[in-house]
Amino acid sequence: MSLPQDIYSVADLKCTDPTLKELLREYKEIHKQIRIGSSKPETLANLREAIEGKLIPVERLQALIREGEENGDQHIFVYKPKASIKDQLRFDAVGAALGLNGRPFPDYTLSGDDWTWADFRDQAVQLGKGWTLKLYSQETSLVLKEKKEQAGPHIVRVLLKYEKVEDRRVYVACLDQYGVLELRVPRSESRKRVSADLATLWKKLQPALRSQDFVPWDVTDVAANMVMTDEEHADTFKVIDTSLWDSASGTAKFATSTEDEDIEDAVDRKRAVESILNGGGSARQIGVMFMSEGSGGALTESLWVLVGGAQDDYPNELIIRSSTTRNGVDYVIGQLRSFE
Amino acid sequence: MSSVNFAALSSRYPEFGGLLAGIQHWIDEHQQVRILEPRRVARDAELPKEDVFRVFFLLNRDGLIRQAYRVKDPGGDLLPHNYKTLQEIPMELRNRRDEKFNVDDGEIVSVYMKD
Repeated sequence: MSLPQDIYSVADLKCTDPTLKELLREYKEIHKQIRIGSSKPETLANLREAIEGKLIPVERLQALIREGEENGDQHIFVYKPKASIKDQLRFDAVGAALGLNGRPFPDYTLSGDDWTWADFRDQAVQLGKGWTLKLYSQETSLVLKEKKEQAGPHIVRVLLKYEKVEDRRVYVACLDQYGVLELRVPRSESRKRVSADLATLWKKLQPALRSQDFVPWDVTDVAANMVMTDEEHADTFKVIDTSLWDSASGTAKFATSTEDEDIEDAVDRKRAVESILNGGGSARQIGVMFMSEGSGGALTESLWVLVGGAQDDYPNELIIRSSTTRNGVDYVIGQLRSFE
Repeated sequence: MSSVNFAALSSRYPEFGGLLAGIQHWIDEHQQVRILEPRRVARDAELPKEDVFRVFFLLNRDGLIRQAYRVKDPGGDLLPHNYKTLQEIPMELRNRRDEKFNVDDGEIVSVYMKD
């Protein structure tokens, strides 16, 4: 079975109903005949009618899909380019090396198990510099829906019910406004899968960008600085988890009781964490809650981010635990840069 | 200050006067915490667990706090999502380090929301 590949099916998968309704409402102010609808299928049907009737530009829906599928609920691997490859990072140079210049994007086509180029756009105008490149793959996964146990006198039967789910997986490479290369792959519980996705993404980029020309940005140093100074930034973020190395490579984990608290709220915990970090230890991974109230509008909801990889191989990994916006991810990267 | 009027409560439940004062003290000391977990409050404030559970039950019944369910991962960390009913809780969740676990291996706890 393959997924439908038209823009409205993609919007159904990647955009929430309230977001789509907001777009319809915005244009209803100008064109009274636009209908909103109550259910998501109705909303989508009304959106199709409005776009096909030229009442709403299709670019607005394309932008919503980009926001919905490119930002958050991802592992983001961050790299700093070596100075020697500055010219190779230009939008037109990357496009030429990958054969993407002049191709019509966005392209929602899927090609079985193969990855397909979905988008390539220059963001110099919006962000001052940078570009975003996107690929799709199609995947069928099994989701556990029900578990039943039937106990007999001698044996127990366990019935597991899985649902087959088709998904359009999204991989993004972007050179952000800070000059950092971000490689984003979908969240997965399998580290093997995350590593394989990252390797495939590098392979796809290889004609334009080689991994040896980039230095993984070790965000665990940033994480340690955030932990040590979090009390001064209480309006902006809370550190709710820390996983640390001590000076002899032993590990220690500290976690707050709830997400409302900071790791340094308890005096004994604060002393223990600082003792390790000041005594030759380092941060391995921290869980940070970036608060919407302190974000100056960049975050619409507080955002939970793991800074540092779950595995030691990836000190340049961030895990954004829910969907957000491009502004949201940029805000997080900007915050991390301020703790370098 | 907590949003719950403890002075009024003490007159309504005089048998819990001392206990309510202890709970109020804990709430005032943890103003940023919106989630009240009876076991934690009892442990932190060194109050009898059964009595704290009883007081939270009464406060919930009187509509002063709202009950919800949360999940603790197998390592004992409380996860942020609130569930109104047990049926809403998925079979698998991710812990704070983003690792998937079977909810059967964790623990479901009652929590109470201050506002």
